[in-house]
Amino acid sequence: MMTLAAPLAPLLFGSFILEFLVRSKFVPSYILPAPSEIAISLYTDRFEYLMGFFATAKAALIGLVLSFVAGTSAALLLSLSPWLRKAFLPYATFFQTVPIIAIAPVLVIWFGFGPPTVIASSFIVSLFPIIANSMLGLQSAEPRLLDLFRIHRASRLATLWKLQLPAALPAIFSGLRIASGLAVIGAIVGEFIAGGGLGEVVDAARTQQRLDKVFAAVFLSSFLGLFLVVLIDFISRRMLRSWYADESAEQRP
Amino acid sequence: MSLIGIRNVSKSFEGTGLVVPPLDLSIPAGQFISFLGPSGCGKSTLLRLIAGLETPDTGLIEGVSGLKVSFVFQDAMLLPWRTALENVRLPLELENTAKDDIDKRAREALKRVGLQDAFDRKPSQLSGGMKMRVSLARALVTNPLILLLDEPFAALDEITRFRLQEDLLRFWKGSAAQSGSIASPMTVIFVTHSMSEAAFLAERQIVFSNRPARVIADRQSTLESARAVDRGRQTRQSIEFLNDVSALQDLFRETGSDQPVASL
Repeated sequence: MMTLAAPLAPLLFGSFILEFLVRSKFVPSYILPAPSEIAISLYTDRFEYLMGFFATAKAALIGLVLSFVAGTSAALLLSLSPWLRKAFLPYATFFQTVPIIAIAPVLVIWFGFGPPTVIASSFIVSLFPIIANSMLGLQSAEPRLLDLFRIHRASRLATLWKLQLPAALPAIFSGLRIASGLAVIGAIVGEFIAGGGLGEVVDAARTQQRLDKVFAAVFLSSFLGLFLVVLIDFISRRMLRSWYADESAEQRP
Repeated sequence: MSLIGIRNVSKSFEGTGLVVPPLDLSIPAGQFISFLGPSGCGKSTLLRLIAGLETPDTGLIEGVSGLKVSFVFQDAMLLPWRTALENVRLPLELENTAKDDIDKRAREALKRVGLQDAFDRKPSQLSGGMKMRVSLARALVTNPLILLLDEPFAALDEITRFRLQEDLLRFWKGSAAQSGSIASPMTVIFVTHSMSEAAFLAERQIVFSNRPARVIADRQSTLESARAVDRGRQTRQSIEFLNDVSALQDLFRETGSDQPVASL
């Protein structure tokens, strides 16, 4: 109960202050909409928001899954040989530094308006943390366990599959956690240019000077990011726990 | 009779300098030998050289390559995501043993170390002593000709340590009987800094100085052949055992190797 109450308190308190500032005409509502206006907008245009929310969620999830598959496979390939790593790792950094807002119009030229561009944008932004964390995880195996594999003449592939990959799981999950927030940002940016989802809601409301709608959509998109992070946390905790110990026993004899 | 030959082997590391000075040593097949020396003296490095985990700067090591070697680390070093049984299966999987054999042999090895009730437990659900037993089973499951142990029992409580020492001797004796052919009993090299452990276990003790690890003494145990008798409580209370321990202590005192090692 406390876990939910604690973060809700500042939200309520902050909303109360904002509401007071706007109602007392201290801040005009075209600069900052009152929380009550945002709430009313969320309710009256609820179908528009709901459709936008699910469109963005779908694109971000697909982008995240794609970058998870591509990122972990790339990391596995790169750890097979130091030469491959040296040759290709610098290019992975491209995905970290690429200014997505500048690339998005190009994506439209390649993929057209609509979901494919949004998914691509989400994919590009969320790929790097997955590659970087997976690489780090794959190299974090205990040296003496690597010795054990050497003594039993394990092949490179067996070492990767039976030691390095399982040892990398916690790092891979933490990469996925970072990537999940970025995937939502990538999707919103993509939607700014290519249309659809909450990104389009924000963009359209902005041009109509409807700040209440802008804030409502922004609120929903950060809620989406938060939801994804919590979801990943939940899955990873469940998986890692059953990975390292059986549910049945907490006791250590 | 084949033997492990260490010929003029030396090793130094950047930062620490010379760890193993040029060293000659012959170990007959089937011997239970212990490397005894102060912490950080270089005896573990010598063990890693024998295992092929390090390459010597000079010299060569004969009689190891091509033979089945197993290594036991100080911490049990189990894969935390595998159950006890799966951990014991690992070396067989890596050495491409026939699938039907793997499970049978892993189960037998775990039974031999007394863990028939813990097949499906993960390492986090095992005590320190049980983990080390799994580690021993993992080392023995391949029927190695050479078993290398690097202070395996140092972190265990004394009661568990005594039991595991007795078990280890049993496995070593069993290996000679089990192998059938007299030509291939298991050679055991046991690294320890405990004088009583070396005296209790080994037929032969190599005593090393502080780093770099020079051989101070190469002595035979005065205990009755470890292979012939069951060792246990009586052995630990015997005059011969206590004499052996004090003889080892004197060796360290006389050569000043009981002084603390200069910082690593």
